[in-house]
Amino acid sequence: MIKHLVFGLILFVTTISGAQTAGPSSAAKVQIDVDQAKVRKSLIAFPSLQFFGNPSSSPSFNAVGAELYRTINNNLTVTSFFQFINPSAFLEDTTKVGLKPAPADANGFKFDSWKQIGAEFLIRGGFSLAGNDLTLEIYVYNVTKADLVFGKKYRGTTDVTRRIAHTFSNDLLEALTGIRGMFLSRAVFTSDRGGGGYREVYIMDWDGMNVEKLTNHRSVSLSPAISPDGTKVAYTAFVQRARTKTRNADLFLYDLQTAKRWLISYRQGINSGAFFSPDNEHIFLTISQNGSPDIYKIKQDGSMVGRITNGPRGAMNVEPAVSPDGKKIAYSSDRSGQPMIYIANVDGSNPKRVTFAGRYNSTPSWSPDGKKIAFSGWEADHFDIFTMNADGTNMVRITSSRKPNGKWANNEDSVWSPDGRFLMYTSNRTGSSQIYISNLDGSEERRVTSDSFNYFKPRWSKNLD
Amino acid sequence: MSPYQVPRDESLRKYLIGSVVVHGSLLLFFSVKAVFWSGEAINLQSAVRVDLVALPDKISTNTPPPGASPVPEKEKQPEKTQEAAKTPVSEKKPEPKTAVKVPEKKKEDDAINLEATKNRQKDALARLRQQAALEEIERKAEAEAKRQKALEAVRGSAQQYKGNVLSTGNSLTGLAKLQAESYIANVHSHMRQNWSLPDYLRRRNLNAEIVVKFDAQGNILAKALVRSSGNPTFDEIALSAVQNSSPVPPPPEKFVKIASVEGFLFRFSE
Repeated sequence: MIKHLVFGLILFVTTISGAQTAGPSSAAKVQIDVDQAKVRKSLIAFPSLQFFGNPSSSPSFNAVGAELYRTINNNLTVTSFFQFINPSAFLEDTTKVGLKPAPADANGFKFDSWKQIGAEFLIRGGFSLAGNDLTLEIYVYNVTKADLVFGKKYRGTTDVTRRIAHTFSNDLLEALTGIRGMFLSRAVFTSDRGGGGYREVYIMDWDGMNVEKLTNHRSVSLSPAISPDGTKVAYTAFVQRARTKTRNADLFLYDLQTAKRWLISYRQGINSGAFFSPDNEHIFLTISQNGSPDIYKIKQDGSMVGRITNGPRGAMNVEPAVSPDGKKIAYSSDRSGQPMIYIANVDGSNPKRVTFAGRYNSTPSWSPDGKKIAFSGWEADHFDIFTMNADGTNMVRITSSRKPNGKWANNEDSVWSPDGRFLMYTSNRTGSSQIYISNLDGSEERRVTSDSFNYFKPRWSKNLD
Repeated sequence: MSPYQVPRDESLRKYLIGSVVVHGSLLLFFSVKAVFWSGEAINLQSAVRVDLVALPDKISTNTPPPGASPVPEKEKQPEKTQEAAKTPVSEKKPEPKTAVKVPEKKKEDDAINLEATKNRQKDALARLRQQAALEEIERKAEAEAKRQKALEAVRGSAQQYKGNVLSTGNSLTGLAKLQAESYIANVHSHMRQNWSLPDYLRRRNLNAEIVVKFDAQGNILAKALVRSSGNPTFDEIALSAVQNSSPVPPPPEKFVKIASVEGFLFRFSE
């Protein structure tokens, strides 16, 4: 019996050592994944736009040309795709050659003179003015391939000069990447820029131009939202009620086309954090009439559809954000003690906690493709913007900035651009809460508003063509 | 009668002897194994355990700040010329001819042009040339150094593997396996040096596969796109990344055949 035992042991030991020497065998070919490409910008040459016409008959041509050029230039800079070649390096005098390449066009430009300075892309454009009518003729060339990317003529009046520049920029991004830009989008926000300590609702172009004031409650307005079709804005304002003389956070709906507004939710307590469903039919919001704040779904006329969250007693469930496919809802809840981000089915069933890092995570926002969520996270003493996959993996910090006094700045309330390429958020790094946009790795942050007022809760619209 | 059965002294002794025999034979076995079949060195790699309880830090990238000038700045000029002058001496490499040739050719063409335009053009050209020349020199010097090392490594045992030579396979173990892994890591990082994508092609989940064959010195013999990304520009950039990587680090002996006959499959992704 002992013999057997010993033999068994030896056999066992040899099996182990045998297994060690056998080793894994790999496939016939050696495969190497080359990933993590270095990112580079494409060198682009954008000579000033030519003016086809008589300067004396249209004295405003300089201003119009400058606005077109400036707007396109800013748009393309913001994409972070391009690096503009300094015009002093150009080898060709673009005022003397045509917009089209040489062999085909007798007075055309030469691809060679752009290749030599390393340009990958070349934009050649010219415009003409007839009274108030503006025509922009513009071509984008791939210099490396000596090929046209796309070319188009845009017509409009001079008061839509920026629109023409934005439309061209959108077309260019679409031709280059297959995905349209966001340059015709706008953003709603609240701000104290009107003075008097009030916060009113405003709308502006994504680049901070054309700011319009939407409300005049002489009160504090909160959490505006713009509908997917871009026609309506929902917002909350502390408005005094005529009968009781008390103030309550009520929800209003504002029509951008008619400038009319309706009071749609005025339940006791807060009625805030509105979010339009992707189908434009419903509004999700936080209502606190039953004690602790919970998320409800109402119609645009204010009629109640149903309660979405039914959190544990005393827990708050706020800041709803419906996924672009309309199937999920993300929100923040403190049911676990600290506010964290949860995702549930859009009817509120099957809630799952997705963030565990940090001490306080709030304001979730879905990327347009529904794959990612941006949120504000608090760790030690300030908020920063983060993105993650919708399941909570692959968390990336977008912002990290200090105030002039050396303390950490708060970066909050992020929202995605309609093309999914950028995030817009507020930051108090200058001392006041201003609006910024950033690309998705946080490498290029740009300030959108530039004054000393405060801006809050931006929400980005779709392209408003 | 005790309710429990206690083993008698006799059987205890039997088990003790058994235990001694078993342990003794095990000891003997391992001693013999250790003496005569010395195992291969165990590679100890440090393991890092990361608990993600905190929010991640911001990743800094190489992208220049928004305000950065898009064109090589003038202030950098003298520094660059110095470098350019220094490098060829130490590496015994002649200045690339292109640096001188082109401005001359330009002169003939632009005989009619104004002095100012000419100067400006020359300036711009010279700047670009200078940078290109510098990059070229650096690249060549680096490649040359690698080549010399490779030549030394294979000198004497240089073998030619051409034609339909049967591969012995690459199921490697122990030290050979570690060597292979480190070589693959070398090639990987070498290739990644040259792998850059324009920003506008990112986030589109593009990937392409290229088979690359190279000789014992690492010179690329052939490259073939075996799976396109569907985007011609992406494919071109991947192919030129391969071309710019020649020569790759010279393969260790066990890899020479695989490298020159089957080739390595590179899967390029963002």
